[in-house]
Amino acid sequence: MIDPSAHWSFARDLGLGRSWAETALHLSPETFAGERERIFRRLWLMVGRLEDVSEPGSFFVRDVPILNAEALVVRDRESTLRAFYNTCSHRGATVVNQRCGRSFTFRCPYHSWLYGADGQLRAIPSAENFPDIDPRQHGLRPIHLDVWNGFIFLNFAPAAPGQTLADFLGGLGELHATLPFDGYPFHIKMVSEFDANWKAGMHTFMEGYHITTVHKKTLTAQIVSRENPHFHFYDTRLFGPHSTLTSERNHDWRPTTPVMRFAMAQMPPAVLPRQSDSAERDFAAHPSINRIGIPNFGVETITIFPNVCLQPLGGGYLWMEFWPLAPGRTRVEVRLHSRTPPASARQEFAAALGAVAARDVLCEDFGLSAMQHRGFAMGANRRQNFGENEALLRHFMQSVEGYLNA
Amino acid sequence: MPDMPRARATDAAAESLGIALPVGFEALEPFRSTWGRCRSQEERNRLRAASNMEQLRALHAAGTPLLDTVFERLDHFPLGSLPEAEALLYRIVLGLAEIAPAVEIFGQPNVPNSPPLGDLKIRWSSGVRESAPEGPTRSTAGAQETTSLVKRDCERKVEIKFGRG
Repeated sequence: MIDPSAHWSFARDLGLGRSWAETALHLSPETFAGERERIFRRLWLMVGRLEDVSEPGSFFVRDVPILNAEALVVRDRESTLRAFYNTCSHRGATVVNQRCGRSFTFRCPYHSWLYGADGQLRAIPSAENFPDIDPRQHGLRPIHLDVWNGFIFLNFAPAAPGQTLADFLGGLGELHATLPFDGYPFHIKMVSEFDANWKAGMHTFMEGYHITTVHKKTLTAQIVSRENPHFHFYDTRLFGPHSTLTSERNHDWRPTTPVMRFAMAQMPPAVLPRQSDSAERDFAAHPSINRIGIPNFGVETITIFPNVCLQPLGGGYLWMEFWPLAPGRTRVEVRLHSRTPPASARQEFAAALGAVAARDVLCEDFGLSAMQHRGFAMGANRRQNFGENEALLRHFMQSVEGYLNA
Repeated sequence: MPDMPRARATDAAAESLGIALPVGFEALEPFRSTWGRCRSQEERNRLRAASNMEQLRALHAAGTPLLDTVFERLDHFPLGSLPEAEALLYRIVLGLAEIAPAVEIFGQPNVPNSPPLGDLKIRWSSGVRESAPEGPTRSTAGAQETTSLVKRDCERKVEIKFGRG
């Protein structure tokens, strides 16, 4: 029998001595500009899944607001995955103006310049009027693209990226290279915005200390045990700016109120959290998560710098992305992934309630992020302070500063 | 379920008013023109935010004892193609999924310390391969309406306008 508390992760154990960060990092336009150029324009950014573009011609458009960029991600006729700036080489209009779909050609809505799914300029109406345009030089402008474990990453560096995706993800990418995300294609996606800095959104998943306060009525009974009343994380491992850690849940928790109880009873076993000894090929049984074998495994929290948090759990995974809009405004996208779509109205009802419950928990988090941002903006304190139990906040802010000062 | 353009709200209301709930579910009659009109999780979310606790508790009190019989009835039909009366019943009952946390956990319509809930977009995507004829960019505007929340086509173009800022 292991002693789980021996695997609690504290800052001192991880060599993270500095216990504060400047509040200016959340507020200052200069920091925001630095993050634009030194983080979001240089690093690999996770933007989608292979399942989103599974067939030749499948495409989606992804906004990266801090770069004013819209990326068209498309699988071409030869099944090669490509990414382009969604702007016409003629006079700049956005070429694709729907979020996703399937097509082998894209026609600019301004003057009907026509592009293939390979980005090549295929046709110019009245072409004789453009003697200076060489179609081979005027395709859609490409964006660097690579894939890790089914996740599509883009890199907006104007020249070659400073690192390959594999080098950027480093040990984290190696550790979790075979986690079976591809087994959970069904998802419910939620998009919203909140009034705080994007890093505050990431912070939400980096300490368990807030759980019993912010989520007193929601998550606490589900995940906080008597043995770990402040919800310390287990086995935090750092890989460059990225990290992974394990946390627990109370597997004997059941809702006590009538609608919640009804909904949980409708859920197929495959979407419910499972113990680590499950025979299913799923996250709970995979060796790269819950490496220390806590008996009440709940979720592995995988932070991929700068703006993604993946949370594999028993019957699926959660995927959070934080996209900066302004120093005090962030867009959050959340995908709740499971193995299959609901098969009946009762399962769909349960999934709808699950999505509502998840959304309300996230509202608790981002509501607090907004209150925190208002507090920072008062300028009363120049620093926020991190405890030994907030190791990942220290690590994350030091990583941000490392890139800003590089 | 796609976003419902504003102009169609009136049509949907008229449509709901003309349909009878299945026999045995008369207790849900008072919610026909409110929860029965909601066609998406976002609309239900907005209605929750705009309701007071007395209204939310009324739906909870009327709907909760019927949950078992509602879904026994809905089990007779394939998901996504409910007849009109059952689709109306389902829309009202989906309201319970939206308001359960408000009534059963928070004791107030909105999440404490959080901005109003109306800011949030929700899309259900099947993640299942779709097949489509080769050709120019297709509009999905004509996609067949379903009574399921799960969309078999990809997201349609949405002018995303959130929040209060």
